[in-house]
Amino acid sequence: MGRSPTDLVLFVGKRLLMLIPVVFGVMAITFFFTHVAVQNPCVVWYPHAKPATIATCIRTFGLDQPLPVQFYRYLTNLLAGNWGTSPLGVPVLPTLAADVPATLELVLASLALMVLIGIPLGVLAARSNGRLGDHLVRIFYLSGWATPTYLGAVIAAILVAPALGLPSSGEYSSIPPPFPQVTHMSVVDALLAGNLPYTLDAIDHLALPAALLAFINMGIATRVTRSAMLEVLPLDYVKSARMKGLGEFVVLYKHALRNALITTTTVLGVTAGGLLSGTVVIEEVFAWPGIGAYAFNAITESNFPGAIGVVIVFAIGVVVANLIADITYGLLDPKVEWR
Amino acid sequence: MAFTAPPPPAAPLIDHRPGARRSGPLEPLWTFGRVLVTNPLSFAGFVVVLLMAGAAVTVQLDPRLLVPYGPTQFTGAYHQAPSLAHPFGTDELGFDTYSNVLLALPTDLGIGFAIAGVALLVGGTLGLIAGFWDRPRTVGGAVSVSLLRLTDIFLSFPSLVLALAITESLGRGVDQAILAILATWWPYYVRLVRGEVLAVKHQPYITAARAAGVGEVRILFRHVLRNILDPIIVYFTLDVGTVLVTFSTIAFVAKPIVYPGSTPEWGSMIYFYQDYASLYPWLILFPGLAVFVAVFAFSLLGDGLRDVLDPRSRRAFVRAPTVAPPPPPVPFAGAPSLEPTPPEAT
Amino acid sequence: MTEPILTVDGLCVDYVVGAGRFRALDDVSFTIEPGRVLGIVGETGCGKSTLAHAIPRLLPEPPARVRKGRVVFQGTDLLPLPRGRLPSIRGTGIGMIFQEPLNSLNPSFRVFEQLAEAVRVRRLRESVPGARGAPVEPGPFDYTRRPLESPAEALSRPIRPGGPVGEALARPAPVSREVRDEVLEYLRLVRINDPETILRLYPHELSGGMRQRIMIAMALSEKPALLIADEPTSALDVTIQAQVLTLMKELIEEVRASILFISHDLGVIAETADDLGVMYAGHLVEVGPVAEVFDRPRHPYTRALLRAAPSRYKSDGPLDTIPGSVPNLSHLPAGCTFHPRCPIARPVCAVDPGPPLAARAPSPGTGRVHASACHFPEEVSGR
Repeated sequence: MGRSPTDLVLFVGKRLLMLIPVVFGVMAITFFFTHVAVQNPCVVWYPHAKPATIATCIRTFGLDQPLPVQFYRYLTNLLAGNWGTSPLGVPVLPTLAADVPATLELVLASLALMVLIGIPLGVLAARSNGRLGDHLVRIFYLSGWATPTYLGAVIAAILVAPALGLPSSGEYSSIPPPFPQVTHMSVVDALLAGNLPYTLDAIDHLALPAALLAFINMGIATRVTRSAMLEVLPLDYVKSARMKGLGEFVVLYKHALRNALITTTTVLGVTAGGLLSGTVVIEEVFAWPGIGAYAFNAITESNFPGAIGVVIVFAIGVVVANLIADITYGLLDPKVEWR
Repeated sequence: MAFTAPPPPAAPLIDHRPGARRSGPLEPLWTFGRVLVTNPLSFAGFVVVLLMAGAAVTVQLDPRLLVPYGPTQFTGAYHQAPSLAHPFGTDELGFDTYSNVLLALPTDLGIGFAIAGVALLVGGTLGLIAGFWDRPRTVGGAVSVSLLRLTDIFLSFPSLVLALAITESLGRGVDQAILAILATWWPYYVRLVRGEVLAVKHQPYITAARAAGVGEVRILFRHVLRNILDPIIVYFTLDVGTVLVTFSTIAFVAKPIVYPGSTPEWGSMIYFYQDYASLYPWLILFPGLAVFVAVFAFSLLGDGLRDVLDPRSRRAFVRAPTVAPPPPPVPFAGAPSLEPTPPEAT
Repeated sequence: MTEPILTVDGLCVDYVVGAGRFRALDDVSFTIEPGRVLGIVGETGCGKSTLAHAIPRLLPEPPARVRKGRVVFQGTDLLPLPRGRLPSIRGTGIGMIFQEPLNSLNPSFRVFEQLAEAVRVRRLRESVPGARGAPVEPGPFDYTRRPLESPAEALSRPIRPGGPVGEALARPAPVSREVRDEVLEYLRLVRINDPETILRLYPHELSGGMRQRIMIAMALSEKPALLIADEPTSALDVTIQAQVLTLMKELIEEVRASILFISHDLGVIAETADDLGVMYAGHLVEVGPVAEVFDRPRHPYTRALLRAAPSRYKSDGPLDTIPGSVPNLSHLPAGCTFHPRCPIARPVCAVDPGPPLAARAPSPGTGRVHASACHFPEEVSGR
């Protein structure tokens, strides 16, 4: 039937292979914006350098070479892990690698909130289509959509955090924590160490930035769930579920939502871009030690290799998120053949 | 078998279904009006958008009509809380926040419209071409496929972050920021328009037009474009808001605009005032509210439009397939059953 | 006379779409007695499906709106019931077979899961004394009197309608072996040869006829007192139609449930139903025993329908047609809705809608009601 375990391995493997050209394309586009669109990259990379240094830079990076040679060098450098250094001489890749887990934790926490709150809200809106509940849900998710991240972050950090008694900066109240940081995700590490006070403290620190990030990106999940539910609800199988004598909750959340989720899943993959973009400002304001904050500082400090590094990491993140969404779609929809 | 011609219907058959169209040159206006009447939230959004556009034009033409102070005009009062004289308060330099928020209106709104508009023109044209001439093993097909791959890759970037990096590489400034957003924005329109064209171009009415000898270019503009306008309008309306937020975020992070200066901008205002936010909250609240209201209004309008115009959620509006209101006037011409037999049966 | 299973009395349903208002059902009344099969025929858009959906309250509201009327099922009027009480009625009281076999099974679940769910829900209810069929009377602390309902309550309601059911829920769920056996039994009942294989499949892997059989099995597994079949064969290929129809006829003999059989096909109704109701533009225009209605129609629309059908009722010459067209449901003609197209219409027909069907007494010959909404039924049957 095309849905055996071997088929699943092929299905996932094929999609992993399809990543390669996309990642290659991502590098080509960043190359275009760093080497082709810019008159003299060295001036951008080292804006305060003396002409002699610039000349050295041009020679070092081979900017006097023809473009294909430059692209080849750019690619080999990226693949070899040589992602350049910041103006202060700090290599980009190790810093980024160290910061990825914190961002991942923040994004996953937001995603969980989006799923747990945004999807039921979409179901609610679909049920009360055109009536008060629908309008309220719409106002809620459009408010998130319309809130500029920086405004939301500033307000959350200086007004909401004190009001709720929540911390508004960092991962833990006292650092370094008294346990080894295995995953570099604050809550996960504390849990692994079995340290309950630190776990709660870490959750407190995570709560506001994750909630804000989820609030801002909630709209898409809610909106898509709503329209998918509206498509599904009038179908006969929902009626036949009702006729079995199932309660409204089971009808909605088991029979209808299960099918509506197939659409929502694909769209959740698309929200990865929004979530990652949101981390740039939110991490900076909440002093969250992830790559978003790194990107913010890279921009303010004219750390161009750093900024491009974040762009590449984020792009790969989006590609992987879409891959996961694609695979989940294949798992959820029995009509998809795994080949 | 005898077939009788259907006599003219006794009463004029007025189609009351929401999906029903009135044709003619004013058709888009009808659609628009129908949306606004049925959805109060969209109507509110529409009114706010109109007000903001009006204010922006007024400020652009003659600021003195609405704005009491210049962008860097000293008012003689520092850190004033909102009052009648200064509705949004004043800052530590003695500048009037209300004036600056209003003076930023044409900049922010104009940039939102301009970027979305240019992205629509560029991306839309490419999408139209890529969708219409996409037959495999032709030049058009090759172009179409490579364009699709290119947009695929572009869509992998979180556009804000890429735009930030591009702003950086082009050298900070308003023009650079606009170019940077444009560079990341057009692929979305290619994707959208191409998809819509593909959905429409194999419809029977296109084939019929072609069979009737209508030229390809005429088919593209008269028949294809016209039928994909709805989702594009919806997307564009929502997108103006998105661009606005993105631009002001870039202004906040990369600071291409110097504030205080001759052209205030909401994002840079919030960046400038954020350190004083707990002491003088009005300084960030009002520019922030300006962004919020602008985006919210565009979103309300676009979201409501989408409910009616987007074919994927149009059913949401019509609802329930059992609602099959007025039956078509079919004569009872020797039908073995009362309904036509399903096509599979023949 | 036996107590009817279902009494529909003066049911009026409107669709309010935008500014338009469509009278989908207007003053529809009929009864179904235990073990009888009532067939309803009518053209597309005459309100048959609306009627089928209105009885178990499956109509989406809005746009549908039940203006007035009663739907009394086993002594309970379903229309004023709070929504939360409906599951217990639907689950074990009324079963339904839908028109579109493509959509009537959930595409995300295997056949077994869907059938087992129906069986489990029914078993749970059966294990509770007094919970089957008739709804539990609200007690002094009944939650249905609360103004708002939370999802959790909605979840618990159908399975746990009262105190004793809470205990039932605490008991272990019915043994899966038993459920499985019962599911297999129902699949065999609908003449599925290899039920073990079918159980493991998803609906999209099955043919239309197979899906409709499973749908029938699912409806029957609820052991309903009333089965509503909403055009169960219309969406199928002709050959499959015949198979499913044969199955339906055999099952009607075996199960002897009361059935409301809706179709646009006079032949299908003639073969399956005991009684026949004819609908036109939201009105039930004639009801009576099938043979009587076919032999001596008492409404001009029924007669026209019969003459328009190629069958033994007319074997020579061209088939007749009904002049004019079906009226728009938002602009129904005054008086009798059929009068603009009626060959025997008189001035009174344009004013007076005709005698209500419910008022008719049983005919002395058969003891069964053969009622017509026409002013001049004798004239119709006489010609």
